[in-house]
Amino acid sequence: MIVRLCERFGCLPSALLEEDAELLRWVRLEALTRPAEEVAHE
Amino acid sequence: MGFVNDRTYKLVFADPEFAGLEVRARSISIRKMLEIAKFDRNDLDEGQVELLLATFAKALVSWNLEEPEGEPVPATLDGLYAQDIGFVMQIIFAWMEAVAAVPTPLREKLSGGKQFPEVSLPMETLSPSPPS
Repeated sequence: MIVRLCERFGCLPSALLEEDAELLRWVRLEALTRPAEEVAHE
Repeated sequence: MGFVNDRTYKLVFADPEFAGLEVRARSISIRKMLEIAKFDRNDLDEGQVELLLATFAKALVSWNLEEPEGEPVPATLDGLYAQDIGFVMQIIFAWMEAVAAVPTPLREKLSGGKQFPEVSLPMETLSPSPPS
C-alpha cells in the first residue's frame, strides 16, 4: 500500500510515512467508493 | 511565523460507561499509526502496551477525567499509567479509529449495507539493498 500511494502522490516512502495518519482514512474512504472488484485486485 | 498544525480530535463516547468523558488528542504520523495498528488488540504484550501508552500520551492534549475524589487526572503518561488499563486501552483504540478509520455509519452507507472486502494495510517487505 505504501509503495502504491508513493506512486500515486509522487513521493518517497520516507515522506509518505511522515504524513498525518488521517490520510489512511481518506484512502480507505476512497476505496469504498470504488467497485469491490477493483479494490480486491489491488 | 510558521504554521503549526495543532488540529485535535475530540473523542466523545457513545458507551454509557464513558458518559460525559471528553478526550482531545492530536493525530500521529502514518509511520507511528502503522506501527501500533498491526498489534493484535486481544493479545498485547507488555512492550506493545508501553508503546501504545507512550504514543497516545504524546498525542493526548486534554481530557476531563477526574479521580473519584474530584482531583483532575493529568493528561500525561503518568496519568495514563494511573488508570485502569482496560479503560485506557478503550480510549486509545477509539482514538486510533477516529484518526485513521472510516466511521461505521459512513462505511455502511457507502457500501450500501453490503460487506466490502476490508482494505488491509499490508507492510511490504523491502528488497535488500544491493552491496555497494
